[in-house]
Amino acid sequence: MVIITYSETSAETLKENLGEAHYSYYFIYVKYLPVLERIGKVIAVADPSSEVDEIFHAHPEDECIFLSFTPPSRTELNLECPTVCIFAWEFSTIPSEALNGIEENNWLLMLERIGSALTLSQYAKSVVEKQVSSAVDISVIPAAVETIDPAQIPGRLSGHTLNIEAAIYDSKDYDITPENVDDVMFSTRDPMKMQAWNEKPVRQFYGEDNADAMRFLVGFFEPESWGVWTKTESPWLLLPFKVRGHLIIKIELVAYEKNIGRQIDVTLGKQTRSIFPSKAPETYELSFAPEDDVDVLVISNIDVQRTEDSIERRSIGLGIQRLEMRRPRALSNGLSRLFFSGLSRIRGFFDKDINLVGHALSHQLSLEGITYTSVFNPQDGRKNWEQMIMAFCWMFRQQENATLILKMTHNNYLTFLGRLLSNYAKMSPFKCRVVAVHGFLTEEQYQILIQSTHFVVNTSTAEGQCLPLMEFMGQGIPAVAPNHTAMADYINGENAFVIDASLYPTNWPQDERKAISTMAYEINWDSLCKAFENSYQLATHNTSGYREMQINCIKAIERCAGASQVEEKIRQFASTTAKSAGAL
Amino acid sequence: MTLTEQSEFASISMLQGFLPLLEQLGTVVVLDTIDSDFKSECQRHIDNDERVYLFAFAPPHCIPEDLPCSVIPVFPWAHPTIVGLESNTDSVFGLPVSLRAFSAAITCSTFAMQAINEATDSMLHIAVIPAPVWDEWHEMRLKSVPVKAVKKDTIDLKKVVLDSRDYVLTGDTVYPGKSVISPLSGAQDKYSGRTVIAAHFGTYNQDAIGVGFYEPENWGMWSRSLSPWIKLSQTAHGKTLVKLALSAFGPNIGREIQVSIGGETATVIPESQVREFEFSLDIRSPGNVLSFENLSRINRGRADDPRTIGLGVASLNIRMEKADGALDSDYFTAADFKPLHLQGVVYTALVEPADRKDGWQDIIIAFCLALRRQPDANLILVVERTDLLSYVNDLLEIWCKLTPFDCRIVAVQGALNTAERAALIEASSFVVNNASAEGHCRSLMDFMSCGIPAIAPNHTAMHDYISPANAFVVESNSEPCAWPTDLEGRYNTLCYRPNWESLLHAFEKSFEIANQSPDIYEAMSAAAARALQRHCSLDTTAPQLHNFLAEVN
Repeated sequence: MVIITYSETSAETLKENLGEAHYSYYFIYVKYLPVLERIGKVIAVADPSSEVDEIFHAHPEDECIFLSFTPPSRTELNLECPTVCIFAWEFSTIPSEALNGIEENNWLLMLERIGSALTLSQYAKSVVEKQVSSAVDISVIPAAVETIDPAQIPGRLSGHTLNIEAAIYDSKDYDITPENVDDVMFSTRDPMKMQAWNEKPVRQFYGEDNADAMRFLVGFFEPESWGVWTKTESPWLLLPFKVRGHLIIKIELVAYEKNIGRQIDVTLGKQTRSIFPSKAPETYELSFAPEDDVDVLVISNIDVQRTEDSIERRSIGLGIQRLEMRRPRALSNGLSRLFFSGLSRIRGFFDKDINLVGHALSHQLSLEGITYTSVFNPQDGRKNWEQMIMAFCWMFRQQENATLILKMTHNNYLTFLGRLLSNYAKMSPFKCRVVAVHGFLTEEQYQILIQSTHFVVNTSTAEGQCLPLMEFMGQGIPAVAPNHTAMADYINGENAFVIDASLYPTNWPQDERKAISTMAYEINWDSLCKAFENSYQLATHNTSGYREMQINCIKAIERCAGASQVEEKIRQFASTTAKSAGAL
Repeated sequence: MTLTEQSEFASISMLQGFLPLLEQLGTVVVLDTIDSDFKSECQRHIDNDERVYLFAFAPPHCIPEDLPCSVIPVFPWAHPTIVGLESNTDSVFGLPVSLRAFSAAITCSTFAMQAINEATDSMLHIAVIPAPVWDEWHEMRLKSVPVKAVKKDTIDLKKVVLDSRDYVLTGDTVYPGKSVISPLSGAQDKYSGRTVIAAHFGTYNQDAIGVGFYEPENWGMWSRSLSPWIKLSQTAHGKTLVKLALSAFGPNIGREIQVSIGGETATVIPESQVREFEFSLDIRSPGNVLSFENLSRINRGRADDPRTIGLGVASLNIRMEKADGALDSDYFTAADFKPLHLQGVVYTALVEPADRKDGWQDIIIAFCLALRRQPDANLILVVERTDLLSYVNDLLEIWCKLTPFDCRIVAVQGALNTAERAALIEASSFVVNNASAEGHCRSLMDFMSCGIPAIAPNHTAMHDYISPANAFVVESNSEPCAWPTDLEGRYNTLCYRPNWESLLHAFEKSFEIANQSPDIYEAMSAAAARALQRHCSLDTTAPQLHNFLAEVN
């Protein structure tokens, strides 16, 4: 048997694509691979249109099958080799229109043409079957998940401290008062992991129409139509990219009450510039030249006190409207080219070989108490992580012994930092601990994290499979999760604290029009809080009950996606679908 | 509309509702301010052995303390907890702190009473006495009970009306369905005979309202949709000189953009900097819509600015050769506020888009998804206080995201007087509420007092009168939120978010019952009137107030 495979993301391009829309297909591919290798000869291609049929004809005596780990819209058609599209889907309907004017985006049409598909959950299969004709063959084969022996579940670890090369945002390190969110440990932000600037001028508008504006703001009120008010004495503006060398920052702002004409300091890296803002909107042009990569503009010396006759009650100081970041035009073309290419070579060096830098960034993550862990991409709106944090802090406001670890997977930490810190401020004060970890863990460290975890948490509105959830459960960790969409295949009351959810209208992610054409689920907050409460009780007061849940977890994952199960299913599927060129 | 304005409005409404009840007890004097005149007047009555009570319809922290008479705060509350005494003293709005100055208070719901008791350790004498709204609708009940579920009515509200049937909805944008459309501004004047329409888009402008644009910036406004248009305050007709200051972004720079009024088109090619374009049009059939076509699709997804900006409009100047005196009266009435001809099942919701807890968008989506194929299903959204310009683009955008749909969605803008409110009630089959917290829901009380069944959650204040006998109850779940008076926005209390799926089913079921089970509908209607009679009629509240005052003394 020859199994030809194609995935748009590869190991080389993974780091860049981490968190982008297609990356999850790669993780599915990686899970399928060892199983495929036991069944036949696996040949990965980079260009299906030219390579697949070539290989098909080069093996006339062997049965061949082409597995495309791509959505139906990006699966190669009209090949002689039997083609199967393997895709994940989590909404109640599949796109049945030429979205964005592109015919291939009509999955209904594409699936009828491809003829054969594999998906990862019963939910996805039932959704597709409602819409496609019986001519389309659709089967469920989830990506295989490792499980451990239920008789040998290791006890939960406690008190470990991991030295991780990752940025850690621990609620305990932040001096959270409603007045400001100070970064006590300045070094927790990791300049090495920020996204590099492509040198093009960048404009940032902070009005509420720019839904992403909040990401870049720390210590501000919610954006309004025209821009955003500062809230604290020392708010930060996160730049969209890390920068070093000469640059110009233009910032348009107004001052309120005592800040009119006051000396306001703007700091980037080690340099500070001062401005004296006025009542009317004005633009200030500031020139900086940081030697090291920096990405945070700190504004300080704001006076948050109100005047006696003030009608305003909030602690507003400055109203920021927009920011522009660019290289100075003063440099002549020749010089600037040299300068910039020199810069990018240095940057490239740092990006590839962090260890060579010497002061390898290492931060300590201490694991103790009853630990809840969740692994997800914060950019993915379905993950609903803010509700998770709020419910956790709400339930465990007085409980020092409860820890929530959020392992964020996305190459740009800006996607969550602003929101994370704003959540810390909104829910404060709280005695429990919330830690966001951003970076790569080694195998060993990941194992320690898993073994220190008492419960794995998911509060998503929809899932195509949710590998992290299944992986933790496969290691004997009970879940706090809903049982909708793909999770219905393995989450139940015996292995999880099930969170109730109900239908909620939404759009297909690939639809630019954002038409309301499908459904996901909204999480019932009361049920989520109860699940946290009950799980904590179980872990602290009912060891045998907890043990039983652990065993049930492993069994459920084994049944649903155990390696031998998956292998058997793929074999069967391949035997009916694969064909040899010679036989045709 | 600020939070202070909202609560002021609620206070005034409650005060007016209470007057008939207070008038039963004695002489009522309505005051605007509490000043030294009042104090001395008060003292005079007290010296005369008369009982003086000040019913203060305001949040307790706004009520002065040093008064000679008995002061009774009357206020609603919609959250389960009240800011704790031990929290930040900065939070001057600490209710329990301010409540300490009083020995008694009146609130509008059992829910509020429980919250206040908990916060003050039941130290206050509290009574739940809603304003006796029920009695105000006596005439209406005589006239229209039993209420019919399926309507065929025309109401003429003299208010700005946005009707989904007036627009052509495509996936990307919304076009006006004709060249002259109902006004979008509150301007009551008819056509005024001017020859020039001029506007600068650095601020909102009643003479020229952009649809499919972002908020004005100081230089002008950026387009948001692919076919943005500007609604002019009067029609343009005949030989017209048009001056437009435009710029463009991205692929629209150097692109041929079509500008049309009343069916006549000119082409402009905007650049990256604002530039003035001038052209003449001979407009044969009058129009009050200036539209832009042929904008290029923008790629979203840029980290720094994910808006879909395309065309920038800084200003316009439209000059007609002669005043449009020659127009038919037909054209005049087309620009008037239109009467609403309603047929079928009519759902009415009074919402305020400025209030984030109102859930108005979910109402539209649930209505549409439940009754998409029903041309006889009508949803009327009445917005009394929020500025139209702040939500009109959001409303039209939701229509675009929901299209195609056969049902009808209408937005009515402006404060209703009593006669208009009555006309609306008479034309309604159901009243809808989707809020996550209510201290005092006047619209539900008005409609249900007239026998209109509701679609509403049964949390907070609504718990006292909403039941499955008189409403399609929408399930709700807790959600953390900030106290309305906490400007730091810390999430220290709860509200009760209605469950969308439950709202969807409520629309489905109510439509079915209205059309197929008139006897059930009639029973619900009677139950609604009865429940409100029990809750807020003079018969119920007068003795309650009487007993309360007796205990206070």
